Amino acid sequence: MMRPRFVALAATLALSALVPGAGAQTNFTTYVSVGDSLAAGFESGSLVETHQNRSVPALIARQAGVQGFQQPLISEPGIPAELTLVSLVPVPVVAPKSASTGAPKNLGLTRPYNNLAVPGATSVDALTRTTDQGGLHDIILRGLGTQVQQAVALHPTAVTLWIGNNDVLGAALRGRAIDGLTLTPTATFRAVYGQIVSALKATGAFIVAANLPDVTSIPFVTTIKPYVQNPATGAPVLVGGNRVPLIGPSGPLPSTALVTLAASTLLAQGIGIPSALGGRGTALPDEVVLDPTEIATIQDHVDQDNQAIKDICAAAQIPVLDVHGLLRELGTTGRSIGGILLTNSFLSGGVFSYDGVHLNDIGYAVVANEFIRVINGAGGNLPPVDLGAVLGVTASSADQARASAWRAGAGASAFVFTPEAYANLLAALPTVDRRP
Amino acid sequence: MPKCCRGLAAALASVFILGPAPARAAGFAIFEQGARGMGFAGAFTAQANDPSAIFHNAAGIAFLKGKQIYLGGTLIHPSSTFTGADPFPGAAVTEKADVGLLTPPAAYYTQQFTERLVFGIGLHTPFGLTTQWANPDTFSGRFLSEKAVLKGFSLNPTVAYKLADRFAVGGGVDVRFSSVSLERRVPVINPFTQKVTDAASVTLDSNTDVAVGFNVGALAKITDSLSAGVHYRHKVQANYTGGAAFTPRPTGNAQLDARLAALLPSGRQPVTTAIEFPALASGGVAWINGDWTFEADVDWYQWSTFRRLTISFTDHPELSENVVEDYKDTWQYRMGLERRLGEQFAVRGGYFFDQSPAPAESVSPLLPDADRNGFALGGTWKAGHFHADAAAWFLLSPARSTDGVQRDQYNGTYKSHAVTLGIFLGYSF
Repeated sequence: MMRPRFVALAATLALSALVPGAGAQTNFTTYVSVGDSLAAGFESGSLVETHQNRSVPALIARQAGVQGFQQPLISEPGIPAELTLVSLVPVPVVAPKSASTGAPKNLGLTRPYNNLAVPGATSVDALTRTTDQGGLHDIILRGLGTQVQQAVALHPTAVTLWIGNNDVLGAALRGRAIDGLTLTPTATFRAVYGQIVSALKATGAFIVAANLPDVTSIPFVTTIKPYVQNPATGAPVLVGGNRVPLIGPSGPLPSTALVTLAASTLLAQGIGIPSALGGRGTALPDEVVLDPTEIATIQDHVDQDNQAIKDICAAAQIPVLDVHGLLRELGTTGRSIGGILLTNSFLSGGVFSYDGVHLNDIGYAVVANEFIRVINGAGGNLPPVDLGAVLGVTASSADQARASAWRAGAGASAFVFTPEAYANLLAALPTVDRRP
Repeated sequence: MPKCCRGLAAALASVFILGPAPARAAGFAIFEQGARGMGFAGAFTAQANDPSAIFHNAAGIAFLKGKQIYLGGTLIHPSSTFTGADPFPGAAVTEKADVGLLTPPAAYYTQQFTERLVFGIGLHTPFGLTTQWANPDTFSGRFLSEKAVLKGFSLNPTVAYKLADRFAVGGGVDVRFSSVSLERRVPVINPFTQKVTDAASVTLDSNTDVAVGFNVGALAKITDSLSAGVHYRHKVQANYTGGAAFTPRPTGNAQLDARLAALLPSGRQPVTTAIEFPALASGGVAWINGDWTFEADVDWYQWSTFRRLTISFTDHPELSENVVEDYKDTWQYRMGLERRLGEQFAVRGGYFFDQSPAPAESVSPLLPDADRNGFALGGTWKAGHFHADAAAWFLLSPARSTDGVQRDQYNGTYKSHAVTLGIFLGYSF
C-alpha cells in the first residue's frame, strides 16, 4: 500500500502528464514571451528560424509541452543575414553569410505570435511601438498593436518578460553613453517597466521576469584589448617591459578602457596603433571605444534598471531570473558542465554567437534552464533542456565528425569583424531615441 | 594569453579534476586483506588470530605461535552503470564502467621470539582503486574522467607483546607505497560549429611515493569465550610528483591540429599532487561458544581529511586546479559467524554496511561513490601445518543519485555492484 506522501506524488505526476507544465501556480497552456532580441532568439546578428526554434521561449514552451507556440519565423539566411565565421586563419573573420536576406514565413497567422519579442525593442517600444516602417517590429507586430497589447489580447496563462537590454546596450555597441540617445533615462525605464508589469499582471497570468546583464562584459567589448597585441600570439607587445596602449580619441587608452569588435578592421589598417610599432599613429574613433567614464555610466544604468526590475517585480510577486549574475559567473569563474567550461569568451567560450552580443544555441539553452529553475521554484514542474545534445557531447558519431571540422583553432589575437557585420548589427538594434 | 584562449586555458585547467575513484569501496579503502577475515565480513579486530592481524589488529600476532606464513590475493570484479539526468548529460544517456579484474595481493609473516614477543611483517593494500569508463570516444563524462588508477601497497613491519597471558598490545610502521594515474579528454568549443569537440587526451602519471604512518592495537581475551580488540591506523600523507602529457586528438583537419598543437602545452609537464589517506579506527567483540564464533565490529574512517585535491603544474600555474571533495567521516558495521566442522573444516558468513564518505556534490565519473552492503561467505580447510581459506563477497550499492547538485553539473544515478573472491594459504612451523 502506498503511503499518503507517495499517493500525493503520484497524483502530481499524473496531473502534470495531463496539463502541460502544470504546477501549483504555473500553467503554460497559453504562453507568451515579451522582450527583445535575446527573447526572440536573435543570434549571430540575425533573426532566422534555425535559431528562433532554439530561442529561450521556444525551449520553455517545448519543455512545458505547449502546443501551437507560434513565432515570427524567418527563412534563411535571416533578417539581417546571419553572420558566420568565414575563417580563422590568419585571423578570425566574421561576416554576413549572404548579401541577401530571408523572408517572413509565418505572416498569415491571424492572431498575435506567442513569442512577441522584437529585436531592438526597448522597454518604451514594448509598451508603445506599433511600427518601425518596414523593420522587424512590422514583421512581428503586423499592425495588431504593441507587444504588450498583443500579449494581453492573447489572454495568457504564462508570460516571460525579458525587456530592457536595449535600454542600455546601444551605448556599448556605439561606444557612446549618452542619456536619451544610447541610454534610456533610468527614471523613464522604471516608469515604463512598471506600466508593462501592471498591464501583464492584470491578465492574471503567471509571470517570470529576467533582469539585465552587464553589457560592458559581453565579448563585443571585452575581446579586443586596449593595448597592442602580437597578432600571431595574442601576447601584449612590450616596450621597456610595459604594454603599449592603443591610441584613443583623447590619447593613449587607459588599461580599463574597452575596445569594441567594430575596431577590428581599423586596427588591421594600423589605425589606433602607434607609428613606432608600425601603425599609422592615428586615433581610434570614439564610437569603437568605451572610456572608463562611459563604462561607469552604462553600468550605473544597468544597476539602476535592475533595481527597478527588482522593486517592481517584488511588489507584483513576480520571480526574477538573475541574468546579470549568470553573465558575471560566465565572465569570472565560468560554468563547468560536465568538465566543459563555458565562459563569456568570443568564439571559444561556447555561449556567445558571432556578433559578440547575443547568445548562441548553447547560451540560450543555458538561460532557458535558468528560467525553468525559476519557474519550478515558483511551483512549476518543467524538465530542463538536455544540454548534452545542445553541446554536441552526446550527439551521434557522425555529428562528432562534423563538429571536428575546425579549420583552425581559437586563440588568434586579432579579429576582423567586417563593417558589413557591424552595419547589420546596428540596423537590427537601433538607438533608443528613434521615432516611430 | 588572449581572451579568446581563456576558455581553452580554463578547460585545460580543469583537466585534472581528478582524484582516486573507488571501483569497489566506499571511499577508496580496501578491506579484503585476508580470506578468513573476509569470511567474517571483515569483523576480525577482536579475533585477529592469523597473520592478517598485521592489517586487522597488530596486537593479534602476539598470540601466534612459532612461525607463520599467510599469503594470497583477492579477485575483485566491480561493475558500475550510470544513467544521466537532464540537463547534463541528459536523461537518455547510459554509461558503463569497464574495469575488468583487480587483484590486490597480500602476504604476511610472523615469528615468535619469546613466549610474549612476536615480530611480523606484512604487505597489504589498504587503499586503491581503478575506475575506467567504457567507450572513451563517446563517454559523456570523458571531460571529467576516463580512467583513474590509485595503486599502492603497505609494507607493515609489526611487533606485538603480551603484557599478560590474555592481553596484548602491538604496533607497526606503515610504509605506504602509492602512485596515481589519471586520464581524461580536453574539450574545446569548435568555433565553426559552436559544438564541443575533443581537443586532446591528457594523462597524468605520478612517480611512486613512499610515505610513513603507523598503526597500534590492543587485544584482550577477557574470558575463554569472549575477546575484544581495538586498532588504529594513522592517516598517511602521500605527496606525488609526476608528469602530465597532452596528446592532441587528430581532427582530420591539418590547420586545426596545428592550432591545437600550438595551444596545448607540449612535452611532459611536471605536476605535483597529494592525497591524504584517512585514518582507520576499528573496535570489535568476539564470542566463542563451542564450535561457533561470532564477531561484531565497528570501523571509523577519517575521510574528512579528503577535503580537496590540488593538482599543481610547476611550469604552468594557470593550469593548476583545486578540486573540492569535502568527504565526511564514515562508519562501517560488520558482523560474522563461523561454524567449525571438526578439526579440518570451518564455514562462515557475514554482513557489513559501508557508508559512503562522498557528498552528492562530489559523486562523479572519477569518484562514483556509494554506500555498500556486503554479504560474505567463506570457509577453511586445514591439513597439518597447512591451511587454506577462501571467501567471497557480494557487494551491492543502493542507487546513488547526484540529486542534481553535482559540482560539474554531471548529474544522474550510479548503480554498482561487485563480486570479490579471496583465496589465501597459511603455513605454520
